[in-house]
Amino acid sequence: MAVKMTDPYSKEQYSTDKYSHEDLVSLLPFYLSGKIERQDKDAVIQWLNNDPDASFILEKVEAERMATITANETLQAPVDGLKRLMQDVASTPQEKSFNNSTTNVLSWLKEKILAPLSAAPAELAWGACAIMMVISLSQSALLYQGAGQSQSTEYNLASGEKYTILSTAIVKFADNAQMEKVAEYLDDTGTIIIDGPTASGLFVLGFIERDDLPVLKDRQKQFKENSNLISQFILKANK
Amino acid sequence: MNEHNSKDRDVDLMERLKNGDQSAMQVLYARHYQRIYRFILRQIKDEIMAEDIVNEVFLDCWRSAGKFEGRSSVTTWLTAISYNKSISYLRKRREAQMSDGQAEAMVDDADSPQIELMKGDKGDQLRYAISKLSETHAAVIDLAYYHEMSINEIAEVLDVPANTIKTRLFHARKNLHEILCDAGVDRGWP
Repeated sequence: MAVKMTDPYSKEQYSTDKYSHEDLVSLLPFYLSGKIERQDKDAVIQWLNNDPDASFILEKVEAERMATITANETLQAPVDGLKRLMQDVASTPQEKSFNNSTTNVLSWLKEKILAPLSAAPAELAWGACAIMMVISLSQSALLYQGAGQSQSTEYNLASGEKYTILSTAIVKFADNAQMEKVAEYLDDTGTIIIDGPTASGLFVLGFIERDDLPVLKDRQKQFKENSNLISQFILKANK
Repeated sequence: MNEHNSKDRDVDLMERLKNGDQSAMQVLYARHYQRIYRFILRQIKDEIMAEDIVNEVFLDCWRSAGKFEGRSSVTTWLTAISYNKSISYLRKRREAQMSDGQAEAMVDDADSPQIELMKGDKGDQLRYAISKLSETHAAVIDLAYYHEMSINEIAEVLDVPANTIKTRLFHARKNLHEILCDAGVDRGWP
């Protein structure tokens, strides 16, 4: 690091090739708290060692820090806030996380398809893996209809999450479709895997009810036209 | 408890929250409410509203626990929610004041800065000057000095690039200097 050190009695301020004087001054609060990158810390230490003015500035920053801490510590939060919060919590439902459902589908696919393979392929050949998946599915269902729900469109995931299925479709994913992309696309379109694959690699997908998505017809159209991921799409009757 | 353990503990609590465990909410609140309350109160300077916003922050945390992906620490996440809610409240308050014509009528009935500053020692003078900073500058000063966040953590809370934080902190300190100078206290710059 080339240091532009000047006569300490001149008005010119200390800086380096990488750090302006303003940069170094701005790093002092982080130097004091220890929340500083190693490289930045080294630059500050070098500055403190080379510029007599630096320690005076550090002293001022330390005084500001102490004043800020004192100003904060004198504020006391009311003690009855928790009671009110817990009453509100009791009457507030939690939002479903669709990001988690992506993660769930993804990890399920990885577990069922990639784990048994000693070398995981970068691109998934859906057809080639189909038989293995049928065996896996017979042992562990991703999605199952809850008790007494045989005539219902409401499904429970194994995780306990509930979904209302608006319509279903039979699809075959493109042979070169990447697993991450499939899982992401399922989440974006509000779609979950209900059943499959068959020996020929077909899956049954369900379009779930979700307020943040376009109307069902548009979602189905969008799905049908995605030739990058979907090679076959057969729509079943809407409920 | 060291910082690493503390972060792990927070992540555990978030996992329990995702599963609807209300007792985890109590623990998370106990761990963070004081810090969050102070941050909000220093932004909006209204104790009653600060209580309401703290409640909203934790209720949001409960409601959307499932969206927490652990990309940032729970502390950073909660502070970011707090900052956004405080800024949103301040914006609404300003709009309401403007529409009521209160802005022109607002007068500072406190002592003039110079008299106020002369009353105290150096610490008092600095605290007074810090309290006169804009919300933007006050936030960065509080997050760096009191909450001891790194540049990247502050950038995440304020949703600005990391380089902006350094510049903002520099100008916050410069403003502090100017407020003190205006009140007749010159401690030199920078």
